[in-house]
Amino acid sequence: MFGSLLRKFLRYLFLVALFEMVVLTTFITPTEGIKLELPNTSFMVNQREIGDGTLYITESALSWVNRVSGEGFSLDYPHVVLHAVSRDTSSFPHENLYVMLDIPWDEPGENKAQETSDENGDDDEENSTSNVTELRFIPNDKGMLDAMFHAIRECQALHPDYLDTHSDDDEEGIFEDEDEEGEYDLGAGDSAIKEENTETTNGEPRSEEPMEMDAGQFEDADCEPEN
Amino acid sequence: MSAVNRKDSLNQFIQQIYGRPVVVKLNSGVDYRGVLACLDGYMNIALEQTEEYENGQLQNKYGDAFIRGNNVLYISTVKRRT
Repeated sequence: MFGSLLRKFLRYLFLVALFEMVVLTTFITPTEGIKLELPNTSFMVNQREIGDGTLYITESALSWVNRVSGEGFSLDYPHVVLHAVSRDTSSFPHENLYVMLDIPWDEPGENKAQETSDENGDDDEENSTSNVTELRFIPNDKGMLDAMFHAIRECQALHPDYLDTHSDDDEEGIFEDEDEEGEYDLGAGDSAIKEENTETTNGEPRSEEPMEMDAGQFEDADCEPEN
Repeated sequence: MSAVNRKDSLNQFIQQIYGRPVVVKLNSGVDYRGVLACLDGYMNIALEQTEEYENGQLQNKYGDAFIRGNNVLYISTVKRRT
C-alpha cells in the first residue's frame, strides 16, 4: 500500500517534470465575482508559449485556462508584483498584458524550489531573476488591454497585503500609522519621499527605537514558556 | 499635534508629485521610471509611460503599470530628463 502511494507520487513527479515544473491543473471555471472573461487569449510564461485559452479576472484570483487541454491555473493577487500594458513591440512582438510574480512558476503559492527554475533555463536572462515569474497575456482583441489592466488593478485593491494582518495598528495604510513607522523626509522637498525604514514596506511592525543589545538583558528570562 | 501636521504635509506632498516623473525602486532592485498616476495608502503605485530598468539598463517599456505596494522599497521624484 505504501509502495503504491510512492509509485503514485513518483508518477506525479514525472508528470510535473514533463510540464517543466509548470503547475497547470484540471481547471474549474470560475463562476463568481468575474470582472472580465476574455476568450482567445494566449499565454506565455517566461518567454515560453503555453497556448491559447481564456483569461478570467475575478475578484478572488487571476486565472487562465487552456482552450485545448482544459488545464489552467489560479493565482492570488498578492503574488502579482506588477502588471502593465506592454505596447513596445521592439521588446515583444505582440501587444500584451505583462504580469510579474514574486514566486517561481513551478509552485505557485509556495516560495520554494528555487533551483528547479534554473534547471529549465531556456534563456540566460531568466537566471538573473529566477525568483520572479513573467507572464504575458496576449488577447486576440488588442482593444481589451486597457480593460484587462484596470480589471486587475481593481481586484488588486481588494487584496491588500496579507502580511500586514498581524499588525496591531489599523490597516488604513502608511499615512495613518506613519507615526510609528519612521520619519518621512519632508524637508527634502522635491528631491524625495523615501521611507527611511524599508522594512515597513514588508509589513513588519517596527519599534521606534533601534533595539539595543545588552548581554544581560535576558538574564532573568524564564526558560519555561508561559502557557 | 505634530503627527497630524506631518500627515497633512505628506498628503500635500503626494498631491504635488502627481503627474510628475518618479522613480520607483522595488525590493528586488528593479527600477521603474514613469509619470505618477496614482499612489494610495498601501504604496500601490500606478505609473504611465513606464520604463523598466534593471542594473541601469532599460529592459522594457509599458504604457500603464501598476505596482503592488508591498514590493516597493521607495518612490522618489526625478528631474525631468531632456
